[in-house]
Amino acid sequence: MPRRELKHPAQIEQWLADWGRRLKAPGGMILIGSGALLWHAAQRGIEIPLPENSMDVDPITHDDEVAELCYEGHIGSPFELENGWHINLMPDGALDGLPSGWRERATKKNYGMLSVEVPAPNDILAPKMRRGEPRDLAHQQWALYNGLISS
Amino acid sequence: MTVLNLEDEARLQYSRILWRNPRTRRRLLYVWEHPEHPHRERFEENRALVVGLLEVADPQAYVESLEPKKWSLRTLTREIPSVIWQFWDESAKLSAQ
Repeated sequence: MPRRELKHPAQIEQWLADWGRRLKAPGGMILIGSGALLWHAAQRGIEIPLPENSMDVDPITHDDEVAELCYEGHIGSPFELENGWHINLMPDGALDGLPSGWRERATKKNYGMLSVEVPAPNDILAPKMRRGEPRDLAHQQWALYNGLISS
Repeated sequence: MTVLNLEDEARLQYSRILWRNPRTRRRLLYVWEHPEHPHRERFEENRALVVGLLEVADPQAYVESLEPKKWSLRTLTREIPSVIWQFWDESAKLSAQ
């Protein structure tokens, strides 16, 4: 079976569009982590895959229907079997790692019933740079190469 | 004031969110009351406290109001049973009812 991890920007768009169609009531999420970097790339039409593939996405939500969808995508779920990556539902406290004022710099987009808020690339990368693992640095370089951030 | 780690905070935040919808509450209870859930009996022992934690507006104030003073937000959050994903997937059939 071919590898199906999360690396292409279009994968994020397809996932969000699908969930936007599945929701029966308006719901929202904040997307952080490497999935959020892929989202920014998708908005710019970038097709260059993320180096060091990701195994999950990191959303935060306050809506029960969105949370339920996230639970359906747990590690080892049929969702992961189909897509090759899973949903790692994060609490509000994960946002504490972002630089102050991140919300003023964030971008919003609606996918049907789903409203998605994504912090700016520099804000997404800030916790990664503090951690500074090789994979984080590779993602920073990918963001730089693709013009998501400037040096 | 208790500071929860991200894992505990996620358990508290999303249990409370899923609890407030009757349909997803049924799914949680299917998991937590499942005869094979390893913490089912412990949940039954502390059920009223856990339900209180899931339903109050201010979990921290709720814990501080409890007598006797044996709980912290962290320890009571950990009384929320874990979600056994096998049972959660099974509970999807409840959604259609």
